[in-house]
Amino acid sequence: MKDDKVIFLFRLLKFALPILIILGVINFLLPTFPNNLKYKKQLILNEPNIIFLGSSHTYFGVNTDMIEGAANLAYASQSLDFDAFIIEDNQQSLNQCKYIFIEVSYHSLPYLLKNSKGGIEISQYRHFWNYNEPTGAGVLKDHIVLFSYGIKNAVKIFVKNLLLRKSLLNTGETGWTPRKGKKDLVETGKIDSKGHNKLYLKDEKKGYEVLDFNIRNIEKIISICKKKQITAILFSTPLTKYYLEHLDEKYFNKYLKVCKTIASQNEISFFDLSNTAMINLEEEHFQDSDHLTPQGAKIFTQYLIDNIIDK
Amino acid sequence: MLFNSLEYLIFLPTVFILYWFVFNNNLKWQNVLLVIVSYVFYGWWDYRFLSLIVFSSIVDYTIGRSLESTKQEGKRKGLLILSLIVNLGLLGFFKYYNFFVESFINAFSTLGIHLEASTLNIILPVGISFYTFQTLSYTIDVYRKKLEPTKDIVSFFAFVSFFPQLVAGPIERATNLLPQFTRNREFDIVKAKDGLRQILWGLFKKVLVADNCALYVNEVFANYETLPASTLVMGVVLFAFQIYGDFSGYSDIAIGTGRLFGFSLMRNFAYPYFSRDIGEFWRRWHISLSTWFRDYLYIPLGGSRVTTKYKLLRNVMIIFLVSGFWHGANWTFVVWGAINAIYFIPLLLRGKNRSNLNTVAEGSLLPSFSEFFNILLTFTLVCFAWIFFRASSITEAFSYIGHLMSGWKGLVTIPKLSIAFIFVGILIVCDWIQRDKLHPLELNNVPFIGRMLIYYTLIGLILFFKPDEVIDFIYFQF
Repeated sequence: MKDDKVIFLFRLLKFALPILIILGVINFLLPTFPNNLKYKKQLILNEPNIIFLGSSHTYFGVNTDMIEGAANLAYASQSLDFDAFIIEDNQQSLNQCKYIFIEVSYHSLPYLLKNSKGGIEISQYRHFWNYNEPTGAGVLKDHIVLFSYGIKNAVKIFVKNLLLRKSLLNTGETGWTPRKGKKDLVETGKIDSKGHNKLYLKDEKKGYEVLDFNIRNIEKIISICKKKQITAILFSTPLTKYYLEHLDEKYFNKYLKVCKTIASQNEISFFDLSNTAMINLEEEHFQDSDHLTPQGAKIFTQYLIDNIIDK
Repeated sequence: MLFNSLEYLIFLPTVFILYWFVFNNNLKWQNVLLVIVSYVFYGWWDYRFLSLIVFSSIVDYTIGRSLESTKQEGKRKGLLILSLIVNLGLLGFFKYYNFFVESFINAFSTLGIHLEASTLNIILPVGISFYTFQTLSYTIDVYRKKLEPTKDIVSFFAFVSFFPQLVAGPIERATNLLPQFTRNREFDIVKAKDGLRQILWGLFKKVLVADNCALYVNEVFANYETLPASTLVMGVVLFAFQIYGDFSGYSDIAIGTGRLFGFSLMRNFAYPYFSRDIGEFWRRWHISLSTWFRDYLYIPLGGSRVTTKYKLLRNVMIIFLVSGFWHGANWTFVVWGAINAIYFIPLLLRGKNRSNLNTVAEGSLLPSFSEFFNILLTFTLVCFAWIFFRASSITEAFSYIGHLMSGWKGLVTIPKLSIAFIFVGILIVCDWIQRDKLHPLELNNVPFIGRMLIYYTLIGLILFFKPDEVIDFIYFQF
């Protein structure tokens, strides 16, 4: 007679087998699906002349299709540590590069992707850009896609790609992606700016730990630029008055001071482009209080070409 | 280590295989294994806390042995008091020291006397309230000669640290759990299968009900000043289900895990939200704590067999206040206990505190109108008390209630919806249908295909609707 324990284990395995097979298939197929970050890795390997780094402000706001040889390597929620990682880890692809634009918006300085709900993006940087978290994410998370994405996200992506045939790759040829839809500028101005103020408040309590870390990240990019004889440029993106009016003055001044100090100490330029008036941007050119519409991106990119790149 | 973590998913099968396949024929080695893995489980939070549990185990083991060899009543009492001082002293220091210091400073400052005293930067060891009470039950029962003190130190250490119920209960009596360590345990496939079902149901309650409710509740309590009253009501209702899902879910996982290893742990929850009065609620909610206080505090105080009504009320008040205070070093918990006492006392005085001992609507599909009304009324009272349990201070609790009362701008303010409502609905329906069973996944009458469908659906839901944020078990902080 068979032992009850063996029967129990055998039945349990039989029960778990369909689940394990499904998860195994998802784990195997997931990295094969195209996505934006995987595509952007290819962009830098093509050795662009001009690189744009930054968050969603640049990702949606700088139409690199208008600039020859440019690559938009910014991404939604991308923080400065990832900007630094991209440049540091791909130095061999910077031989043709002449300019690197580093977006330093108000929210960028006290912000880290790992402190937000960016788990899936971090996983994608890990799997497609060979990003290793300085803190270590754990053996299982590092090597098993399913765990690093989170099973829920993994299943969602799997269903979207394979069953609904909706690709996760929606970025344009040069990395720029048009921002769709329209949100209430007043409402988003209030919510977004308050959220960004909170980042400073939180970081202030920790003695500006994140802000200092991000200053080091910016300086890391600048030093690579110097080594490679690339012109590094700090810039901020346009913002609506609805966003600006809710910003905490103390923190905004601190932000401006940090940017100007980095620029002067490293002898590079900082362009504060948050003022829409000088760029001729109207409210209709904003998708929400701090992101440009495709038309807004066109105007803003033209401004960058005319006033910075061509000069 | 959290029950709903990847680590535990690896830990549990590994321990199971070692326990039944490697050390199966040797009780002593099985117990040694349980001690080691329990310490690994506990040390996963912070290995420094292990010293406390080891110290507590050594003290109570030694006192237990001394109680056996000491015949003089005075000395025996002294040993008991020593155990109480050590265990409650540790609990008091780690859990209540800062609270008492701050309360004294505040009390004196209201009298115009400003004291200078510093609080300590103390981390509360996970589950200290649970294992302290468990070890105390051993010493008290040995003192009362209800239990033979064990000579087997490994069994005793395993009893104190048994990982399934170490950090959040059920708080076991030594009379129930300790003997299970000293006799051979046979693998029972029926119990093991049912244990797995109970674990699955516990995960459903924790991951889908409690954690999804937590997202909503946290937002409501953080912004209650700006939200409409209807949303505040939903915030409290969902908190009631959050705490139920969280704590009873943990108990289900603990009991189910125990069954996998051949142990029988006591029931901790018996569908409390279907209670028809507050007395019934307290017989169905956190049973292991209520009965602990009944056996080791209420009855020694005289219980309900006292000569005057004053003493009866005093005993009830003490039991509820201490129970509240056990939950945390904050006046909010004391008030929560007091409110429950106020609910309970009228029932007791009218002799109706034990009038609902059977299963509600036994044999019927739906409750009668009066049963339904009583359930709703009891639930409303319980929810009101939960406001104090959830609020970070008494002021916040009153402020929340104030906004809840005044924030009705007509009845058209629709509360924000959340996926949590769906899972709460599923929980209520399943609990109701299976209310005469130990847990809702006791599905012996359901055909095999139906059972499999239910299990796979639950697993799928857990994997897919698990919130991204990791949310700790609420009761770990107690």
